[in-house]
Amino acid sequence: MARVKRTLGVENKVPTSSMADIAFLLLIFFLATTIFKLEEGLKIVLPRAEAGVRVPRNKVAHIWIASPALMTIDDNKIVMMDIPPILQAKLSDDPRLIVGLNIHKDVPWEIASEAIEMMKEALALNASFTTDPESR
Amino acid sequence: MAKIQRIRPPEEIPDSAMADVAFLLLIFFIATTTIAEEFGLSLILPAPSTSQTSMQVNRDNVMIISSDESGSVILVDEQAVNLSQIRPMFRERYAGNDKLVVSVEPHPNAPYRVMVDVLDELKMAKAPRISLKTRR
Repeated sequence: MARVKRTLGVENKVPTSSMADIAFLLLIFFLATTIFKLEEGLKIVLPRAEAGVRVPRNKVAHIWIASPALMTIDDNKIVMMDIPPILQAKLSDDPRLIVGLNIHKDVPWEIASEAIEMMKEALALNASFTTDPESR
Repeated sequence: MAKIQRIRPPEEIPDSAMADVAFLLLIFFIATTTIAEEFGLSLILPAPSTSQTSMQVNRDNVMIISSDESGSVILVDEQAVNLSQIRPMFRERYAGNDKLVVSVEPHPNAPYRVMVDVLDELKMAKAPRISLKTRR
């Protein structure tokens, strides 16, 4: 009797035809999600610190102080007295608001402490002193 | 006479290199995408002080860290120290008194970085009670 040779119709190959599709898919994802954010900020050199912890950026209102006469909140130029009403409005939107203080390292402590007092007045008590990570 | 037949190239856009281009762009975006991170020293500020909220602390339970006007001299309970000495000094005193409160009191004209340097040391020493002396 003739022997019947069984042949399997499956080849030992990894299908690579969909690789390009996956690459395109990832490419479109990165193209869509990449944001080239140009921060129009003040020229500030942050103080360095080792103990700084990561701060969730979406919960932070940023106060920038470059000099006693030059400060902004979220890119809007302000004076010291504007801090409490702006923070109060932001707090009513998000009670867990963190206030990130981006203060130039050489600004006198008197100015920084005045900003802290303004935060207290607005009852924005969750402060984060933004620093430059030293040993990361 | 025999007709000469011209061989015309196939009318197709070559797309074999498309996957390579996609991979190239993908690698570029993966390599260049940076996730913006922010680091900071967090501190919960006290609510504005009133006669009801303010409390008296025994002088023995307070460690005062101050600075001179230029910020080059740091004093712990009026004794000049190096920044690196703050951590062991705090740990030693905290080991003997767990009610210890550290009061950071930079000179009003001292640069802001002095406060951050001291706060960084205290955070690394895991100081639980830190007080910042502000203007008012």
